[in-house]
Amino acid sequence: MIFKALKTVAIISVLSLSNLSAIAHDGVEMGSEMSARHYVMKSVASAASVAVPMLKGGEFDKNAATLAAASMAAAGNAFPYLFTNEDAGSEGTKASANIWSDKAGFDSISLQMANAGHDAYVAAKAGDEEGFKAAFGQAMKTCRACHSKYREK
Amino acid sequence: MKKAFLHYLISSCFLLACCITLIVWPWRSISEKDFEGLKANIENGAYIYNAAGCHSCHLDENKSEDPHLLAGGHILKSDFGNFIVPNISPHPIAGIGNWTRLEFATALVDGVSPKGQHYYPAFPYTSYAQMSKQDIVDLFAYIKTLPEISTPTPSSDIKFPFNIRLGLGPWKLFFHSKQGRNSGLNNEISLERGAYIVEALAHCGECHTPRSVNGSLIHNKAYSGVNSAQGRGAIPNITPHENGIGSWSEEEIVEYLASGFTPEFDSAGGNMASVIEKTSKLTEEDIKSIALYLKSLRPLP
Repeated sequence: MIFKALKTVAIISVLSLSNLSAIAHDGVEMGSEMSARHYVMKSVASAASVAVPMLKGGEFDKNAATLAAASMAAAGNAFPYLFTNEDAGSEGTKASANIWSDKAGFDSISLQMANAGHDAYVAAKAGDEEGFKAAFGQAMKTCRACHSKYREK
Repeated sequence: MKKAFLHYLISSCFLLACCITLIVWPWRSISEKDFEGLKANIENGAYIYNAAGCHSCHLDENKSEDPHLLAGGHILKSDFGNFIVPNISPHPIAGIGNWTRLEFATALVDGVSPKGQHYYPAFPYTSYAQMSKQDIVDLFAYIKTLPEISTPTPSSDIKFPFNIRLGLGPWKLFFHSKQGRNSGLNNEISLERGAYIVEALAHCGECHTPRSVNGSLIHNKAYSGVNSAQGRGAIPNITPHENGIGSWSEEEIVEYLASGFTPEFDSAGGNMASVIEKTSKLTEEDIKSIALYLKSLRPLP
């Protein structure tokens, strides 16, 4: 029960933080697990687009950094629950069959993203610019690590 | 009369046999002379190894993710059958430990094995043939320093008639130019260097250029992407066309090759993520040279 509640909280927090207007226009069908994944992925891209200029030496905006980091953490927490339907190979998804054949590995890398996102959140909230940059950079490294094994193309 | 006919028949058969032999023969275009005076630089060899992505195929990813273990065993599925990538670790029996420098170079440039057999172009020698002699020498010296692995390679499962390797003789006649390329300076941003990395080392076209039914690259459609080659999904157009990466700036291409993030902050997946693993280790000058070269390609839809 608590598990389910946590899952819902994670998903809702991601959706609320993501760029809803962009989502509304992309024509993905609402409601399915696959579309939920796409929203969460978009929230990660939005968070990265906010954070990367800061990581590259742009002006540090404490509030924007905090939101971006929270979004990363929430997405990392949500991913393990967004791939319950084994649908690798079906229309509209680039999900690799590896997600289901190696669920433990997939969950572990999602957790790494969540933890790094959380560290970045704590640092950003405390105004620790360097700590935020380091942790957010770690969170972004998990994107490629995960996509190389668990996504086709 | 009968005798004359027999004579004619025999000599024409002989001539025909000569012609066929000439066409299917695994010709070698290089000799030890081409490498005279070249001293191996192992550090550059390691750099070339990464840029050429040898371990993309020759690594057995089911057993280890260590990029130095060239056990082979990876299966490349194609319309012609399943190619099993060989062990190229320096093991004297299972790998290439007993090869000479010239035999190694002949494999890369002519696509011919030390036993005189044609290689299938699943091994991208049509690209590697453009490598500079110095880089070949350095690469060979570097591979020799890697761990020996004793796992033998199972034979590939190729469909008839493609399993007859001699058939590659005429294929090479048409589709393998063996033309070398200038490597450019590795500490300078230049079109020449970018072309060298993209065409000779990183062999980008092997995936991003469409192929004809006989498996050769269609050069007038170079880098325009492939609808569905191996596995699922499309391989994108990387020419500066609006269907390709025309909207990307050179800086954005550099960012992608260094970090894997597209301008929209999507992150490369699948095979391309493994390619980014390698491009991200190139020098800044080399990544910028690649971007310069990609931007100079003919825009194709």
